[in-house]
Amino acid sequence: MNLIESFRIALQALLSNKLRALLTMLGIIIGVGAVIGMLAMGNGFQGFLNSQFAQLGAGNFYVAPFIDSNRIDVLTSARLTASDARAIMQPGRAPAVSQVAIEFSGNAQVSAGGQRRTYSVRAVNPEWFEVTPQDLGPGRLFTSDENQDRARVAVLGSIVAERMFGDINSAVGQRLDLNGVGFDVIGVLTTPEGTFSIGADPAEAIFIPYHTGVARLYRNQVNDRIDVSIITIKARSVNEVDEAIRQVTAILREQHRLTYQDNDFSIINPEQIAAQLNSVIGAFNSFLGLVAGISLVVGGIGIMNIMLVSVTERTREIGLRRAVGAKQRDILWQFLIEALVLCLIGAAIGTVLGYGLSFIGTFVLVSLFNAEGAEATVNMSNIMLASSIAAIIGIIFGFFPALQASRLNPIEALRTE
Amino acid sequence: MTDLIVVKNLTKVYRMGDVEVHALRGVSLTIREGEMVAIMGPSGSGKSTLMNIIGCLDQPSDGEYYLDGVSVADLNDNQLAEIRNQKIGFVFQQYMLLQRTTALRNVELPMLYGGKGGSRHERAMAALAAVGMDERMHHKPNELSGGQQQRVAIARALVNEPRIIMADEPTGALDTRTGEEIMGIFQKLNRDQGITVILVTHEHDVAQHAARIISVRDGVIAGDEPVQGRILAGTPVAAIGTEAEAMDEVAS
Repeated sequence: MNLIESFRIALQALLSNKLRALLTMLGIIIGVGAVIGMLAMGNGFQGFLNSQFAQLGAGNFYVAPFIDSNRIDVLTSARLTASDARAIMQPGRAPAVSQVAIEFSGNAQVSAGGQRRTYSVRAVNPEWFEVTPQDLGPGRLFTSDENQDRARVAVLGSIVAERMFGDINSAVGQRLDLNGVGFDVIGVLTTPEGTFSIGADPAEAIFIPYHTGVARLYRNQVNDRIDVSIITIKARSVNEVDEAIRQVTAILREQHRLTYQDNDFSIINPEQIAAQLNSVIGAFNSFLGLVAGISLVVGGIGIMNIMLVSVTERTREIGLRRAVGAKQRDILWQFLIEALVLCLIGAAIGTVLGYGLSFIGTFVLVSLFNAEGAEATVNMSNIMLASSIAAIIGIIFGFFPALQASRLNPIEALRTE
Repeated sequence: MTDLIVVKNLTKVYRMGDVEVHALRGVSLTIREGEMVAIMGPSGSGKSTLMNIIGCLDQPSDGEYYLDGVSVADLNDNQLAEIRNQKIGFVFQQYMLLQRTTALRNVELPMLYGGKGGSRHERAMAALAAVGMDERMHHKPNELSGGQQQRVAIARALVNEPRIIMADEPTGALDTRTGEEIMGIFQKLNRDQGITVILVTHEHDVAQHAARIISVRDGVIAGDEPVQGRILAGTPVAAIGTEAEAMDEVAS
């Protein structure tokens, strides 16, 4: 008996009892749907996270004045200065580095036109806008000269501009006070709210030249050891990040005159963090998939149950088929394929359900996890995975009933009422 | 005529719990090709067991059985299935049609498990035509009368061109007139195509349609003789030939 014939017989048998077939498939449908939906949500979250890290700028890494050690006997305190950044930028010292941005940030009382609010004020050098590109709305960014001259100019995040001046267009040219020091607003960023950044959300921050900041705003907060809160370094290419980190580490250790001591600064590599997060999320996804997969096994038990009933009901048919020449293996295949078809149809319907669940997954990601722009995505390999599992379950759980059917004594089978 | 079925000293012992049931206690018989034989006997006589063994559905406990020169007792399950498929056509009291399939599909069934070449569809239609059911080939069993269903079952038995048709109480579920028609078909197949027909029945009127009656009682053959005053069924199928020809057959 050929395979096509077997599938035709299986389909016919299932179609003759549609409701029962559907109810039997339910476990598989839900299982496949859940596996696909869960994995889609995981994919979506992972994709979202990766896009967030991409917003940090490809090939960027960070140096911060923290001591990266769990040891309590560390005697040194953290150290990071603008002169460290200058050392890194000296020609030939760190060839794998293309740009260095420095920043010192804190909060300041912001007042304009009778409004008083507190915002994060980020004092950055102009390179910062190149290393971590922002969307510029009306106006302009500040220049290197303005940075050197400690010019009192400010670039506002869009939310700050709207709250202080009503809308972003009317902000440019206005004046505002930061901790009582007057600044001219020269530009507004239109970087969307919630854009991932190391430091305050650019949409809710005020950017001023680095030297202006440390001279006028943060004079009391900086000292000999720390006058930058973070250095952002762009490697010459994504592939040279590790090399750049090595070079920067060597320069900083030399600058800080470290010999046997641990680093008194920390280097943060987002790629590495992303890789770690990805593996954690990947493991979590697999776990979710596994939990969803349990319902597939439960579904398989349902299949076995109904196949056993079906074998009992169709004992006479089996007897007849044997009488007209069906071999044991023909009967085995017939019922095995029936279970398989049941599972595959279930998997097909489950895939549709999985797509439906992925839309809900997107909604959950966006509204519950605040993952704006995240999208739960069903990918082909997940469909293949879930369908293969369903097929394997069909074969495993269909085998026992099929074996029973094939081993029926034809005479007794024919005699059954 | 060659000896198609040769059975020697056949025994069959069943175990039912602790009790051994001797269904057959040494049966010997020979059926020649082209014969029409009725096996008779009350229930419990062993006639069903004999039929099952002759039909290759069951194996004897002891003794010899040669079908068409082949020793059946030595065959395995798959080989038995092949013999059933190729050499034997079964007709049952309860028709045994697949309810949700058309007459045509039902007739095609044996060909799924091994055919003799040619288009399945055409062969099935030819078999249906031979029993006068070609017009209803797309009907399902529940749309057919009992007699019509049994005709479809006969077409199914015929479709692989068997040497033997084994009919187990083929008229048991039918009224007398329809039963006559069915018997007419068997007689015609036996006469025109030379198919060996073995009827299993406990009704004397039915057995009288055969040319020879073998009586089974208590697991042994109690009688084996030619039929005196054989009943010839009418002509239910147009193509079946004339009464006169049928009379000639009996006379010869």
